[in-house]
Amino acid sequence: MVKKTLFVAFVFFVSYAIFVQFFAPTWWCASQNLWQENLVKAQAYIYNKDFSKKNIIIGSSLSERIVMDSLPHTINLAFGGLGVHDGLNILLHKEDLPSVILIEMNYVLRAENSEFNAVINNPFLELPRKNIVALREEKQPVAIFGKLLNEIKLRLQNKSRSIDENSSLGEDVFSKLLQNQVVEYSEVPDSLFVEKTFENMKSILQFFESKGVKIVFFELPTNPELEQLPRAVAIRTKFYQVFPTNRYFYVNLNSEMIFKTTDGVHLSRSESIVYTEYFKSQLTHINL
Amino acid sequence: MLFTSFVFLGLVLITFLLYYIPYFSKHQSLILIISSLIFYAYNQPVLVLLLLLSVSINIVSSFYVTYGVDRYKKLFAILGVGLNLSILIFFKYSPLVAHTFFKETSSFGEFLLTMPLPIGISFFTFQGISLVVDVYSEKYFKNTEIVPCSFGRHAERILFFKGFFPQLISGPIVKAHDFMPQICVKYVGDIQWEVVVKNLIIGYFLKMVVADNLKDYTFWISYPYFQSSSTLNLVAMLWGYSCQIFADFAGYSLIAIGLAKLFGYNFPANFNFPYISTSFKDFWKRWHISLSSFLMEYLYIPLGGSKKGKIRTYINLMLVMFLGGLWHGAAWSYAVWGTIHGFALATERFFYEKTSFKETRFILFLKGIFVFSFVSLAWLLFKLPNFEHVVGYVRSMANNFDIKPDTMPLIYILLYTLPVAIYHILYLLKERIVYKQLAPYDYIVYAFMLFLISVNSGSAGAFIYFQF
Repeated sequence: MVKKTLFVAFVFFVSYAIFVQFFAPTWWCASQNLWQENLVKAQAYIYNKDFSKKNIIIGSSLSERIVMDSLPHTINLAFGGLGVHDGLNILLHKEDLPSVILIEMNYVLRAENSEFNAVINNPFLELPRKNIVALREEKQPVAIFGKLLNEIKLRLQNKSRSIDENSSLGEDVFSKLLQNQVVEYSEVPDSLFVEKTFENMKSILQFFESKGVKIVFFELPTNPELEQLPRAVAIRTKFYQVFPTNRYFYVNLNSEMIFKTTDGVHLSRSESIVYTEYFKSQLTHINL
Repeated sequence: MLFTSFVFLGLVLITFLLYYIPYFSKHQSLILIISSLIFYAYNQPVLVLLLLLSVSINIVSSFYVTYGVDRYKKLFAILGVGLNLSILIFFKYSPLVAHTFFKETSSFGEFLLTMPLPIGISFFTFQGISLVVDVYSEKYFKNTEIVPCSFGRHAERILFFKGFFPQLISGPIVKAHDFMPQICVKYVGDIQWEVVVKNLIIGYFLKMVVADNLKDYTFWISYPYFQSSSTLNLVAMLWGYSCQIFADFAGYSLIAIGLAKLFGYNFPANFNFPYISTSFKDFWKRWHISLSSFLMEYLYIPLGGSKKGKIRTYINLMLVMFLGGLWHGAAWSYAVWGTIHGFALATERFFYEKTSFKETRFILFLKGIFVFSFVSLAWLLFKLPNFEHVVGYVRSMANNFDIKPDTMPLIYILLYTLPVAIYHILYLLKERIVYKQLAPYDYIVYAFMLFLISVNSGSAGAFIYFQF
């Protein structure tokens, strides 16, 4: 029984690996959830040689909503639930460096996720994943099967694939979520932690700058109630202190533009389009 | 060190190779002891000292219970159990005591909060207690059969019993009378490879494919995320969490059983298809069997069990389950969880004594649904230690009908919980002819599970029961 099991498992694996490598259609990929989406995005960046000398956006789920169609030569390496430091960690481990790193300011205090980094930088799986595509996150068969089921369901319901990202949650729920954000933003961040975070980031960015990489910072708009609360102000102030405006380019908030969010911090799809246009127009000042 | 890490696989391979070399056969226990200490020390080396302290207490107390002066034997037994419990209480419950009884600014409270929580302490402490009690009571063996007269040899055996890495940090809680008689030289030719491989494949599949994938969906049970989820998604996540906690823990236990078997040792089964239970009594005979049997043997029965009248029986049930709940974690939510189960057991016993009716298949089915629903809702206390959040979750389930369900998580939760459902259904069908006809082809199923382990594992998460 043991030998039969091992042999049949080997046959399953080799068959799937060959299929994925040589015969799978382009749609044969899926990410099941936010965590896996992040892993797929990270692995696509790490294992793809074509991404060198590009502009890279790093940040959190706020930056993920930037509409990339209108930003050529730019890759969005922002991760939902993660942050700037996870993005920096990936950039550090790739040999080819980008031309420009566009860094989100809003959630800069979110610490690096050690579990994410352990998966991405697993030394035992790095080489196998590089060479055997079937071992990458986006090729998980159950994930793809789930995606197919969803496609069938949507076709039966005669609906399009995209989620209505402008759909509102309802006033009550929105108020609760905004209130949660107000509580979080009202807290003054621990000064030692802020100091350490920026010190660490500065040393990493100095390394990139020494290799000719340009650094740009940007702050995404949130609900107006949050923008002048202690946390947002503390982060902004620290950025200007450590990375002065006479040396670094900032895509700042435009006080004349008020954006609607779905939950206090995330832009809806339509607002993301408007913001991306503004973002793009600001970047033309530095010829990006 | 996680069972699912490459470092662990390397450790097992090296240990296995050394263990079965004939030249080292007399030192097999020592080889496993060294591997176990490396395993335990991997993340927090300093806590090995605590493990060694705990082992030392058991070595000394069990030795002197056996060979000490007769009139002091009971004292040694009481000291052994007491010191075991003291270590557990001090390291595990200090933060709870600090939060409950001391002000935030109190220096003693702050000191208590700094106590580290050694991984596996709940498990190896209970094993130590079983050793001391079994040696004192001589219920299963004459203690001189188990405790050699050489203190050094005895110390090695006890360090091996308590420190054996498959069960060291998350069980099963192996009792001394089950394990100690097995200690002898093992031979590679005696390995039951089919049993080893089956346990390891099912264990790793449940852990890496089912539990590690489900955790990415049940993450959204946490506060405040559940507030914006639809009722359907909230119910699905709860179902998913029930399956996840089973897959995680049962998976770990099966891996432990398979690994122990690899080295020639038999561990008792820790799960017996608990979600087919049609009563709470049945559930606790199927879920975390090693804990419930430990509590039964070393707490419930010594308290009088069901022999001291009805009221005392209900009190004993509630007390044992309260303490069993608290064993799971240093938070009142776990005590509440245990008490809820104790209340369910007591109430069930009360009704069974008062009523009797024919249990048709339909009635059994309804009872099964009820028990599963109750157990699943109770798991919320594990996932949301803050009781307000548990209430909030239930309230959101009742109120969020107008939020549109997110279909993709529903699909994936159903896909990943399907193996747990199939696992239980196959158990129910095992006497059927179709099952017996297909049984010779089970290697295809195991092969498929092994394939999915290689290409469809979720990201490694610590075993849920590590926190206990």
